[in-house]
Amino acid sequence: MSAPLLEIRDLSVHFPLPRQSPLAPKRTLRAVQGVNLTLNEGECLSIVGESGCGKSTTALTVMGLQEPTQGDVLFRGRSLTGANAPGRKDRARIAQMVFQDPYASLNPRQTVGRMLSSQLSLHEIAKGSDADHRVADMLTRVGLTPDHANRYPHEFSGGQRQRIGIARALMLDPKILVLDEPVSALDVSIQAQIINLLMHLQETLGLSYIMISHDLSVVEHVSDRVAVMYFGRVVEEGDWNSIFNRPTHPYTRRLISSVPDPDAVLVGTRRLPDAAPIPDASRFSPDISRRPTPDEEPEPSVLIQIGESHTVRVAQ
Amino acid sequence: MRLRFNLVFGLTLAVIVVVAAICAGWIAPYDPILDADLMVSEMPPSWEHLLGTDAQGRDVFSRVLYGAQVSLTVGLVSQMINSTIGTVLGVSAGYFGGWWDDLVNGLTNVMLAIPSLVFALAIMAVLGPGLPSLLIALGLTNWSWTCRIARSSTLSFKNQAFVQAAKVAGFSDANIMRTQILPNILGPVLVIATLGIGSAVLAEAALSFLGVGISPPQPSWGNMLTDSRELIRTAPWASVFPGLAIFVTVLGFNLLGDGLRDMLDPHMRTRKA
Repeated sequence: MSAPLLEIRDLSVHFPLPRQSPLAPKRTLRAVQGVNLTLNEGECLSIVGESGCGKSTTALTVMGLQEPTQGDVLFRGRSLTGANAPGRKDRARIAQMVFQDPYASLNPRQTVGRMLSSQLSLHEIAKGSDADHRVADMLTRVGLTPDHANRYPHEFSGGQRQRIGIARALMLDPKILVLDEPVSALDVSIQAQIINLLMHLQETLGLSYIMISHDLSVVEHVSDRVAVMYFGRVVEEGDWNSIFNRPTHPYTRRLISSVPDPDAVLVGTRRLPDAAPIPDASRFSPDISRRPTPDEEPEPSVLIQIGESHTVRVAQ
Repeated sequence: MRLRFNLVFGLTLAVIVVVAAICAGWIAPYDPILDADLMVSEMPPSWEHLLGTDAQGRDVFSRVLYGAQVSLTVGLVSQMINSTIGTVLGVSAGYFGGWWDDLVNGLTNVMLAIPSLVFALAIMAVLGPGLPSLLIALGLTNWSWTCRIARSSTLSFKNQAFVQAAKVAGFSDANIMRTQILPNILGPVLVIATLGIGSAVLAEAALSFLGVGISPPQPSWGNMLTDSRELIRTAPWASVFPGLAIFVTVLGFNLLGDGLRDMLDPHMRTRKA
């Protein structure tokens, strides 16, 4: 088998915390702690977890907006971090990002057309009327019309803005799209449209997605594989089927039970599928009955295989 | 509508002064330097000399008009230098942070601690009188407010998602500062610049009054005040009218600045749908 499209290898990102007093020991916020993930060609990998669990930091590291404390991100076996990392411009052709807030992610003083075509001229892909053509094409592709190019962001609704954000991310024909909570700022009715658009684009353009979300009902529709993060670590990972039909880690089970299911509530039959069995002497890690402090040293633990491409974290 | 009044009245005054300066050559009935006639010195305002004459018998009206050229050149050019320095330092300090930010902050605080007129006086003492040195002296001493405003506005924009998106798209830091940040902070910088024009006009007058600005016989509002300060009892018009010109110009640009600030302030804009 060839090298996976993207590989996150033993990634840790730590931030220094301010000392509580001049004499107090140094404290470190362990935002991401030894994360290993792989993304295969044409796949959608979802990273789910509550806010502060490190999922966005992981995404920012993939984008090069955050330096890892330790570990590496590899694109087709080539390192994206450290001294030999590709420059900002080369990197732009590899991965692009769709941001959470469709209002803050568009420059209020730039027309949509200028924003999109400036990328083309920067990367010397197209100029003049050729660039205008490509911009018009892209706008049509994301469900807008070519004449939207002359407008400013404030003239659009939230859903339209997110479409523009997607168009911007696709302008350079990247291989990977990192979607940071792409629909959580939108109305529920608009969410479905954007999700459908993303699925359609993935199919037609052969994209690979890394989707960051706290909302499992969104993840359920698009992901091939799911990684559940809790306090900086991956606690359970597996394909879509094993995570949703055999949620095993107590945290995953809690997450899934939090998804509203109106039918089940009405009939009073709300229940979760059974967990996969884990070896007798082992215990899940971390213990979710107490909330860890962000700066504490995590207990030693390993991911163990509990099914075909299904792993869960247990204490060592 | 207080908001409108400031803007419209300030703009009107500023436009009148600018037009007067540009058209001085056509409007002025006399040459400001050469038409000196001691036979008509210290004449009160009359139809012949609208604003009277000074001690050398020169037409005060013509000299005020030509003085406007000097004052406005100094005001506009030196403020342009100030705005450029302040914006470049402020935006880069806010964007890059780190030691560069500390350095620029320190420099700004030093500039704020030294009275800018005294600093300008010192620079003039080194460079000698004249228009070019006046532009340099005033252009290097009044950028600290612009710098502060530019820096704090940049800080509020640099972590916005659209700036990150530009980074991800591969744009260089210089390009991001120019195309993403600068257009968004131009409003407050422009307001400071307009207010700065007024203070530069005042500073020019003060320096010329002290004798280190524009040297006679070239007319400037400041040196006209110096020349005629001994005539204040016998020929008050020779000093009152240049003073009035300074007053009107500074008032005009300050009101314009206030009006612009009100207009650009989002809290004042709620009525405009």
